Amino acid sequence: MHTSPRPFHGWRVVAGAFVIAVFGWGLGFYGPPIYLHALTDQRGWSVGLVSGATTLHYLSGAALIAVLPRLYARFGLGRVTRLGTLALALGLVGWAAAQAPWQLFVATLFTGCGWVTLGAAAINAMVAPWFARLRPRALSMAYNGASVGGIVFAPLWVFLIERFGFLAAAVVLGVAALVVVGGIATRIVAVKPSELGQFPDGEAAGPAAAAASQGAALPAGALWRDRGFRTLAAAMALGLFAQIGLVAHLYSLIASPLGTGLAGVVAGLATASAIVGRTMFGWMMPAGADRRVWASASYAVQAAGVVALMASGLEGPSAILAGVLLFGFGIGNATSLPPLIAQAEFVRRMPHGWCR
Amino acid sequence: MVPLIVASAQAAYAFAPAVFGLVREVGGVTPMLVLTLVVQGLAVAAFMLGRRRLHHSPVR
Repeated sequence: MHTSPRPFHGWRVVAGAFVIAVFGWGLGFYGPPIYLHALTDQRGWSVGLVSGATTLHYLSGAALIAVLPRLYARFGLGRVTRLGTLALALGLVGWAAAQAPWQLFVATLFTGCGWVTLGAAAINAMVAPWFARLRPRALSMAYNGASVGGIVFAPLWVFLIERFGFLAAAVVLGVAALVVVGGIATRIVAVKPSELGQFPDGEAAGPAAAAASQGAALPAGALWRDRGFRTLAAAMALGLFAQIGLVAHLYSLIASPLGTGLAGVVAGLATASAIVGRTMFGWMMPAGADRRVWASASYAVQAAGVVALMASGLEGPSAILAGVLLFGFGIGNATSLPPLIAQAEFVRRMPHGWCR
Repeated sequence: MVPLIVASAQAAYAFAPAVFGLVREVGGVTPMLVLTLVVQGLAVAAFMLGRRRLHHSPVR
């Protein structure tokens, strides 16, 4: 068992990654729909124009995610996270200060590239070196920060923008992110197990555990030729496409039958349901389970929610609530299970480190 | 490999709000919900296709 004189640092990394996820999703994922409303309201820009900016925000981030491992290897996880947070903060101010559409589109490049250093791949990179057997539990706890980010930041953005204006809100939350995430990135999540003489899961080192904690170059070409990888990538892309497409319209769908106040509460309950679903799967999934089956089961629950919404005809609070809660149950798992499937399938089949 | 699957997923879902908005505008709410079910079904199919291959191919 664990014989290190220091307490196992891995759970501190999970806590740090949780807070970083709160800021990452709060500013980079749940923020854009609110920025869209603020900009169409204040600048008079069309929904289509600002929606296009949001799409560019996600696309620019996607381009950066692919090279994140190389950036981590060259500059270190802590420095990349701090720089990403700075880019995110500057980009937020850019969204709020933009007086012309081209300025908005430039700002989206900053926010898009910045938020992914606090996003799903980044959280996985922070937690993965510290956990092998306990990774489902650790990752689910860290990723719950994403859901909390929505619960905390969505109403906070609305309050600050209404009270002080979009620019002041962006400056305040951007500085808060720099201070909080900057500190955590430097002192907590950038620390590697080897620097403390510790090993994954806080246990004594075994060859497999030590190997699992090591990084390696990412052979992207070989991965895309692998059918297991392609089906995993396709499943995650399709699942999130369906989920985010519906989530983007969910509030406006239920606001009419429920009223805006109750609809806001119900939308918040969907996020709470996501935390329940992710935590439940993270703790209940057995070590040798086929994680693709668990991921499919999560989507089945979500689909049941969609069917319930259809059957309700979007009338009747109880049926709508049931549909939203069932749909929400799988929201978190859609992000957290694919990295765990990668860990289970590719660690065994490929050179160490490819799953990171 | 996690960054690659996250990147490809994000590149896909970047267009989701716009596509769902278009379907809702043209066809209404029910087609949009049906689209959700269809895409979710495709996601499950992709998971299962990979599973079958993993469990059978090493036997060869």
